[in-house]
Amino acid sequence: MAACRDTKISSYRIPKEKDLSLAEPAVPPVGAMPSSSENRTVATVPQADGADLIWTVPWLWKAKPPSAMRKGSYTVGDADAGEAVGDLSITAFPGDVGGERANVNRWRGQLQLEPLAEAELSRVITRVTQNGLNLSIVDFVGGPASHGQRMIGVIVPFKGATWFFKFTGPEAVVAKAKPAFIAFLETVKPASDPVANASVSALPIPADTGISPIAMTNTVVPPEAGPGLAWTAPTRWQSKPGSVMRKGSYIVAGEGGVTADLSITAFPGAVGGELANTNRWRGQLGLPPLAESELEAAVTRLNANDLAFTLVDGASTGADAKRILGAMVPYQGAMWFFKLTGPDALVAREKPVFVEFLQTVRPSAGPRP
Amino acid sequence: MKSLFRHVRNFFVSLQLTVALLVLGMLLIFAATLDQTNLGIWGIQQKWFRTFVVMQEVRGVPLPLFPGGYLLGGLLLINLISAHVYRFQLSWRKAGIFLTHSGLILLLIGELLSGLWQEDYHMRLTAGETRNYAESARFNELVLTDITDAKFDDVVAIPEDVLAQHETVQHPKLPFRVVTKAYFPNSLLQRRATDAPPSLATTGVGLGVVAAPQPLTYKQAEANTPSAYIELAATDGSAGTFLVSSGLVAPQHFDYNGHQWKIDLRPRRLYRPFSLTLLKFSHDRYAGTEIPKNFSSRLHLTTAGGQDDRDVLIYMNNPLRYAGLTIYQAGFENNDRITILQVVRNPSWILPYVSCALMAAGLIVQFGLHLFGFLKKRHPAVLASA
Repeated sequence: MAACRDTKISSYRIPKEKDLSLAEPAVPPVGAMPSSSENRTVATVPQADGADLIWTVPWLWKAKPPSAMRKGSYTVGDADAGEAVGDLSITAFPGDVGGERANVNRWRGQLQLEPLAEAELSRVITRVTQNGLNLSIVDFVGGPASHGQRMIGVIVPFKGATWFFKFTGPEAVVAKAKPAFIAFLETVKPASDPVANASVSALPIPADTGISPIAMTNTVVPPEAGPGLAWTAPTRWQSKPGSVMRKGSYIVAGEGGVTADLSITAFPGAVGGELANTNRWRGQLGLPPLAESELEAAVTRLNANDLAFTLVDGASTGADAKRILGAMVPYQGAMWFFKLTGPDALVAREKPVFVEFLQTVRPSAGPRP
Repeated sequence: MKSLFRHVRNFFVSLQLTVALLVLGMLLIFAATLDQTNLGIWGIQQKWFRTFVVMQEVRGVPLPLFPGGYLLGGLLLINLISAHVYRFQLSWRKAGIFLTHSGLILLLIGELLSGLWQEDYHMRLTAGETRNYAESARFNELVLTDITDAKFDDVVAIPEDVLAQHETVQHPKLPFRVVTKAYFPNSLLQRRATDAPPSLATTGVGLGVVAAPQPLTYKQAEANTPSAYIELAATDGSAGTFLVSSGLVAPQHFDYNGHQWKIDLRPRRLYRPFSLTLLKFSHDRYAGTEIPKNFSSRLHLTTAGGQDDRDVLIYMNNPLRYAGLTIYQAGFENNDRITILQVVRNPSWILPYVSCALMAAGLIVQFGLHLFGFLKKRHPAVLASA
């Protein structure tokens, strides 16, 4: 010990050594971004064969030094605030690592759950395609009854390797952080994909609406959780690939290359209620929030196919005014949002088409109008 | 005076003291084991065992909490030795006890010396890679290397403790003084925002990256990332202030007075006059399962003078002992592509083996004497009953 703690300065001559392959000093791959303008950080984990995945984590997640086997390692939750936290590990191995079933059952084993047969797999796996990646997501609760553990595991095959994103922790912790984790998954993309890189920016923190921003924007209703809604979109609306968050996504094109974006999302529960959601949208346009008494005058009610829509129409002012045409409809214990956002003129022109489109929305098993 | 001496002597030779020390030792181990969740294995060794008194901070004030390992071990050693000296009788009948206790005394001394002398390092090797140095798992050093020469690097290594004490270093091999402007034993490196306040660093990577101080971590799965802002001050002005950190992955280069330099904060290195090349790392599993059976590294050992040039195999529980170092198979990384060897320098490594042999011999002698005595007594009885 004494020998290790000495303060003796040494000097010596050695045969020339090569540095690491990096020509320039590199910023460490993981770290947090506390500044208000950049609240996320991108981590790139090089693989031996050069194929990388990168991702963006919320700044509250603390990067841990990667251990022997991990590509990335984070504490999920605010440990500094004294909260219980979960653990996110990111690993990658060549090949299929035994296949989907073996890995799912390995995870189930860690939670003391019985293994599943091949036929049962489709029941527990949610499959999502995004950023050119095929994600297989499982969500299990297990462990001793006294301190239940929950695990959300994601398997991503990528360029001959299999990546694993495993989020584990006490049941309540994982449940609370699930929306943030799902939002994080949306940011996972190939590092070498310039289109994806260009399109992914820091996840926005929504305006302060008094509602949990994560619950408002990022919660996902898994497709198998219950019956969904179906709709028929005008053919000139261009469908975009769905993402974890979105049930549906369309580009509405106008003159001169301008476009508006239609997103269809769904979240469990009332998601704060009509007033909170209306004010959230108004906040995004820089408009002042409405009082409860003003709500009725500001919204339009619309009934179609046994669904009761609340339609909100708002626009910002100024040279490049934006307009949001939003509709919310409660269905089977969840709240569905249809939101058309874009330049004021284009969205205003598209409003009759949007209202017509809303009338095609129906329970997925229902008759086509 | 005599009675005081007798009291002291009686205290140190008493069996009650032995029992009390053993009980306190057990309590110490129990408490330290519980504390391991807070401090990790290295932290508790320092706080509970390699100290005379265990100190605990209460509202920022350090208070003595419990006798430490050195105190209990030291007293036990004095107790054992003085009891022997006091009760020593040169007789065959006591030879076993004498040997056993000598072994125990040697074991205690060995643990003390290990605590003082042992140094732990790691060596990471990718297949085909050759290294002649190991890296400390805990201690870091600031290195300034003159890389102007085409064949050799001139290295000046400054231990992290010097930075921690904010000592200014003036070394004959350096054309500048090394001034520590700030030092953080643990830090988080962050990309510097455009509207951030001016950085302490005036050149290098520190212009775009800042080190934010963090509390020290003692958890086994976590590592501290020390960082420092180092100014190289010369007679003709400053050669620049650099941000150095163990979290940066490569050294920073700069020119000064026609010489090329690099600066880096890296794990402390132990250079040896031999090198090891990883030929193959094997991770054997039981057939048909993923259960590990064996980890082994086949290495090529070469000395600069050519005395040794041979293959060696290190596997679990079969370390290589060479040139005062013991090299164990400790781990692997990156899908079995990298082997991690633990390199231990412990001049007193032989003592535990000698002490165990002494204790074993002592017990054999002691029980042997009793057995023979018993058989001797029994023999006439058998004859009488016949």
